[in-house]
Amino acid sequence: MTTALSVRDLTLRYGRRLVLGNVSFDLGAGQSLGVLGSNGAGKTTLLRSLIGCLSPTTGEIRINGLLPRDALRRTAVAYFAGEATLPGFARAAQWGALGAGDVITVDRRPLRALSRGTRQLVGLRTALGRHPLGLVILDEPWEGLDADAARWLTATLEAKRDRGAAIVVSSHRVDDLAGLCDAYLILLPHQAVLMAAHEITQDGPVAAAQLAAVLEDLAGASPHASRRLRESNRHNGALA
Amino acid sequence: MTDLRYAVRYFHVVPPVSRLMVISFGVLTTAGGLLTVADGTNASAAVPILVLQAFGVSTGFAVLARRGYFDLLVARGLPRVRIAVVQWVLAAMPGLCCWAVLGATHALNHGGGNPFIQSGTVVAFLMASTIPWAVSVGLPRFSGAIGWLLVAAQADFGGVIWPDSVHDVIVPVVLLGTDLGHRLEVLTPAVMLSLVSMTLALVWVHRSDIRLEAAQ
Repeated sequence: MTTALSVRDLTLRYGRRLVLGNVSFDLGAGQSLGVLGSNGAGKTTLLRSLIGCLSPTTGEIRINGLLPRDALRRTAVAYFAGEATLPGFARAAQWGALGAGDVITVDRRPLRALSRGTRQLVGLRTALGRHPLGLVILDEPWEGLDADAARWLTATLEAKRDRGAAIVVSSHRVDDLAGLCDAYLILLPHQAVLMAAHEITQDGPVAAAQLAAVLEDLAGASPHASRRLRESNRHNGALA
Repeated sequence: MTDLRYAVRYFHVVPPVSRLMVISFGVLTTAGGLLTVADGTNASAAVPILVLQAFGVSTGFAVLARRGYFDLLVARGLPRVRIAVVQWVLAAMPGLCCWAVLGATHALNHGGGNPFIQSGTVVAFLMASTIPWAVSVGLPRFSGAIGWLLVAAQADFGGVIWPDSVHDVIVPVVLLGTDLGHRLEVLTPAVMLSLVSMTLALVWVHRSDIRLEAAQ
């Protein structure tokens, strides 16, 4: 399996403040990675650095072997950081046509006049409209979506993954990511823990309760958590 | 080329100059055109266009980028400098079109000796189209134009007597309709200031990180 995305010892600071410390993982084509972490854990910073908007303080990011800024010209990438990043004065129908040129919505109102969930959906459909996609990077994409739209998003991500796209998707809710991903990157203060899905359970897809239990273990300072942490770090980078 | 076309299409959907400002340009050009038809001796009709141009190009590029407005372009692999240049060109376009309309109006009504194509007018529009964009690249919208107006007001009413050449560079409105062929002490620093400020701004755009405003 070819490595679509490789992150090695990524450390990122804002001034003196350490936001991400020593994050490493490889993601193959057709694999998906869920990034979990509480508010302020650095999920958005990590995802933004993957598309080259932020330069690592140390470490390296490669997309299909190239630095992000070079790779984006050769690999079709979908990136969306949430409805707050949409220009509110742009008209929904015109914005939607910026994806693959298809009609995503016929609503001619400015984006700011739409509900939060509708804006999120328009943004997602525009970003995911290109095909075929090599890499999908979505930052908390389920925020604001109703049940139908959330199901559509999960099904779309699974379909893109099955067609060979590497998926990186973040959330602070385990329900969103459970079962979808081949591996989970859990961002803790100054530390990142990578766990393959089969490390969490051998019995089919990871359930939300199992993922929540892992998070609880890692968040606590129990000996069990430390053992799990050590084991996980041994697997760091061995996903692809 | 495809990249450029996509960027232009993007800025058609997300225009760098607001509709209200475009309407203002239209109103001022109409009024300026009437003034030019009545009196073709100077380029004073271009003064409000020049001031509005400074506000129009003060887009606050990096602030918009930090809001994530250009993420779609960035994810397409468009280099940031190219995004910035396209945004600047399209932001400057309304003012430049109005200037062209005034020049054409003068030419049609009064023939030769057109003050709108004198070197002073060209330099004034060059400065108004570049420096406010460059200054406001990392600052909020309009900050470049506001800063420029404050400096110009200080130069005119601040109580300090500046040398003519310095004053004319700071307040380019006075250059409208003039010939700078023999005033290299104004022409050179004015052009250099425009080019250097744009170069520095684009280098800054290329090198700086684009954090999301709300990001950790």
